[in-house]
Amino acid sequence: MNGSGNKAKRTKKWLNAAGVWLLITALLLLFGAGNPAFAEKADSTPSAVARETAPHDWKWLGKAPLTAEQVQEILATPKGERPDPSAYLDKKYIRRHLKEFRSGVSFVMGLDNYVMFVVARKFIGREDNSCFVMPKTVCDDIAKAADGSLAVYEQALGFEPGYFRGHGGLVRIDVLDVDDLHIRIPSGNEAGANAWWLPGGYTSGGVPEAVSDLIPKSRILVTRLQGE
Amino acid sequence: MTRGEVVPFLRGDGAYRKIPTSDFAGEDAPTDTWQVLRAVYDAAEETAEAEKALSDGIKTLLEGTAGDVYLAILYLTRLSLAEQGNRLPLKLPLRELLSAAREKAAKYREEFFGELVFPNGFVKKAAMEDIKGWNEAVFLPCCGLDILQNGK
Repeated sequence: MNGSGNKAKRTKKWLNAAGVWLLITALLLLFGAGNPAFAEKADSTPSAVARETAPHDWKWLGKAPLTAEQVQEILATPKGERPDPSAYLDKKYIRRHLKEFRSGVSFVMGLDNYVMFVVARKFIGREDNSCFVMPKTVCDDIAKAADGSLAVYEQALGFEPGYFRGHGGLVRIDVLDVDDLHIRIPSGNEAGANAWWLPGGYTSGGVPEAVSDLIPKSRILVTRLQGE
Repeated sequence: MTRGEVVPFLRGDGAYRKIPTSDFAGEDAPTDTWQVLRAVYDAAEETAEAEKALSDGIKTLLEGTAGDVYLAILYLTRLSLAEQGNRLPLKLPLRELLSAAREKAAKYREEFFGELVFPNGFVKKAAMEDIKGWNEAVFLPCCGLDILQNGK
């Protein structure tokens, strides 16, 4: 009885895994195929560090407690009509996820974008009062692994190879005081949620992400990295 | 570009729209203009026509709607920054294009305070804030050119 029960459990587990991989294939066909940047990354042989955080390799799977069907349904919902994450993620998961952001948030951008979309403004973020951020601790880990290499940041955070060099360098922005920034799990309705967005609070490369309100520029710490 | 569809390509119309690959990219535009320019730079290595196509494309945008003019100014900002950093692999008549942009910025000043709707559905609000910022952060320091004609 126990043996057949275990076998049934194993079969169910296998079927679930097969379902997830079918979804991955479908998503790859939808978003990956035909995208030269994706093909470039898929063919590259990144370093061990970069491999751990390579973009668009679906490391988010298993990090957020969502079934393949839930992910499919949320992605199929038009942007603007997607449900609030509290509708499909339990409170404990949301609390635990957002805890990572309490000690500070970070994001990185190309130097040109920094000049164009930060220097020139009083607040950082988009017109719908949103700004995608990662926990500062995660950015610290990437910085440590990168040791000055722009390519590692590109791999880790889903930027195209050569992105930061093409922008004249990388700018890291840290915000330590986040208490009133309403840090939340992205719903996918945000102006900055692009075709790569996935539900559950992780980028497709497995980096934890959240959304904050517009960030006052007076509150940011800026670090510039020119690269090797 | 080889099909003569430079303007739809620059504007990100329909299938030409380029999506930033990272959530943290920070660009707030109807298409990922960095990817577009990189494609033009790549094309310029293959054909001498790419340089002229980009220049003509920007000129055509400057003759278009307020949204087109905003986008042309965005491209000119990016190109000016690249030139300033010795990263621009093309020879473009930037001064001439910026002068034309200054005229059009004056023409569409009121529209830039409202909403600009692009053919691919992207909506840009308060474009004037961006243009003012680019003027102060890029055009005035690097080119000595006031694209807003001293706020007139």
